Amino acid sequence: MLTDTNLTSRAQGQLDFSNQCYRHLLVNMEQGFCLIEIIYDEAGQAVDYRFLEANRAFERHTGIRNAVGRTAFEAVPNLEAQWVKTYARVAQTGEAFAFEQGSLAMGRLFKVDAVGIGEAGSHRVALIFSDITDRRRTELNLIKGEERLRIALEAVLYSMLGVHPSTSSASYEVWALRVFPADLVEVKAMFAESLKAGGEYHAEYRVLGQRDEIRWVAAHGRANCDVEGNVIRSYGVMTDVTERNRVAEDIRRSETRYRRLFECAHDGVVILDADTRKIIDANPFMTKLLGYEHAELVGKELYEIGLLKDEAASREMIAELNRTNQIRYEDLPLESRTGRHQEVEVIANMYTEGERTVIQCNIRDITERKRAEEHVNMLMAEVNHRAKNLLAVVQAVANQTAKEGSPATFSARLSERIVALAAGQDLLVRNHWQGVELSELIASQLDHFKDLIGTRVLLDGPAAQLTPDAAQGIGMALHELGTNAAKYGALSNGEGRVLIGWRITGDVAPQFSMSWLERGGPKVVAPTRAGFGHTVIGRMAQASVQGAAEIKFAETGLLWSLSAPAENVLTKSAMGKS
Amino acid sequence: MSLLPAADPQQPKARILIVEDEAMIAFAAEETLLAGGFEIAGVAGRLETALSMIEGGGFDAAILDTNLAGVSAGPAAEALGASGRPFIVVSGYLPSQQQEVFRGVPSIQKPYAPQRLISVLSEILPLHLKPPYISA
Repeated sequence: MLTDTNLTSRAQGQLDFSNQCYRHLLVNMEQGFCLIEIIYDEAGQAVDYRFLEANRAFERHTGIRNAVGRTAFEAVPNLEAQWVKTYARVAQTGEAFAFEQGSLAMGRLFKVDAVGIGEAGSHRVALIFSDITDRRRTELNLIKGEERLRIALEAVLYSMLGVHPSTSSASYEVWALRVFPADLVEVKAMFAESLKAGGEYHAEYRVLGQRDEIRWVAAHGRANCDVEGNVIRSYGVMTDVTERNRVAEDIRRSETRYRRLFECAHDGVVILDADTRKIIDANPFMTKLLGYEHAELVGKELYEIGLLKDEAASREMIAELNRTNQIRYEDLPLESRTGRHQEVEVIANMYTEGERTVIQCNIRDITERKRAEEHVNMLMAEVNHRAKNLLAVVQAVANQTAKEGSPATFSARLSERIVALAAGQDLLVRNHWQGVELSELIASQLDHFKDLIGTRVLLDGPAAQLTPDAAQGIGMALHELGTNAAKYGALSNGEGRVLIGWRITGDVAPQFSMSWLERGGPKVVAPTRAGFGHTVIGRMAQASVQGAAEIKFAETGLLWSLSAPAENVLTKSAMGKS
Repeated sequence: MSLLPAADPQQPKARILIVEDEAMIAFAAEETLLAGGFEIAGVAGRLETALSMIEGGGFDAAILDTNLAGVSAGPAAEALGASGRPFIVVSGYLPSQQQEVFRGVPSIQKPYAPQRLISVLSEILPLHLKPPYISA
């Protein structure tokens, strides 16, 4: 018995030690612990439970202070009845029961292990539990996040790669099918390369979009590899940069285009800052126009490069631009650095360029235009002068023609003389009023007899270009001589001849001489009265060359000769040649 | 203005210098002036001739073309001005196209009616030299 006693006593000691251990564990563990006793009403229905014991963590998990001794409804008045039922069932069956349950009244979610203490039907239950509200919330958020991510991914895959969510999930194969074939090899190589260098990748490549159109994407991400360097998975962001690239390209094209326009313009262009009035850019033509280097122009004001009179004029320009946005200055004088004077036209425009307001001045060199305008004005005056002179000549010819012969022949004679004048004009115009070759003048004035030239009308003389004045005087004389020869002289019968010769003699003061000699015509009778024709071949021919004319009515034929200093007859270029 | 018979055949005629490069026009002017009761002092078709004739004198008035064979007759206008003899300008240019030196001088545009030459010329002459049939 002693032994038994000893044994019992030892066993008792061991049991005490074990109980102490568990107690210590229960009191100090992280999870909540409590021992409850179910409270029944008279009808034997479980209606509440009382906390008999609770550990340190209890309060943290439940939020209930000083629970021991109080009932559940005392601690949480609106507690869900479900809790009482659950624990009463555990107490009754004596089976352990693990569950997760939320309490709206407590605002918490619990994971609970409940076990009946003592025999089945005992009223006591031990609970080991945790408040898992936060953990579950995190888990729920994680799930929601994943869902969202999945939806977003599907949307991206669809919008960017045209992969329909229902057909496939995101995979390497799906992606590879949508990469623009020409870019795929390069992109794969790039991936492989970047993986070696730490796993991060950045790439821009083309993909096929929703409607199989080509789109540009920028991909940034990270790939995870196993120890052998195989990609386990990769994640990243893909951005559609088609529009960004297109805009950038448009800007680049536009920039190129306008830069070329600026660089190649045959107008000077300077850009000023409207606030400082200083030049911020100038095109190459401007530097050429002024003789300054680009760097020298930048930072200067317009008056410093001689474009405006002074600083006040510069200020005034800006004030005017503030009112009108555009000014045009015509005929500004501009001195280049080398002192070359030029007439310029300036058009100034003001506009905003991002943050700042700038003034663009286009400067056009109009020196040539002004010169051309002056030339045109001069030509107009010349045309007027010549036309009126010619009309005055025609008037004089008409008056003279009217004095001779009958009214019946007046019209015919006047017409012939006007035609002769016109023929001279034609030759002059054809030669840009520079002069007329004498042989051409003869051919033109003797147009009626052109078939006879070379047979009965013989020309002999060197090249001789006549001045416009000489051409008119000699031309009219030739016309009168021809008319006279056809009426009374060598060309009035079938065999007479006319010899027209001219020469230029002498080196120091060259002399021009010309003669018209008729042979084989009817016997010549000197006219009793000198008519207008006589005046034309006489003093008028003479006056046109400031020389001397001679007319001889020999019986064998008329001889007309004209001589003058060659410089009065020939053009300067002809003088130079002779 | 009235046409009167020549009252005094002894009255001196005005001597006119014609400066005109266009022979036909000079010839027509001569005829017009002779018929109008003037005397011709000379005809110059070039600037140098004109200048030497102006210097030589022997004329009472001049008619001056502004362009002599492509050369401006400006120096002749100046010489005439310096000589104190009246002159008129005959030209095909518009007054606005005329050089400064010719402005302010009585002028006629080419072509002109012969009577116009006579009347404009008569206006610049002193009374005793006006042609007989021009009333004062």
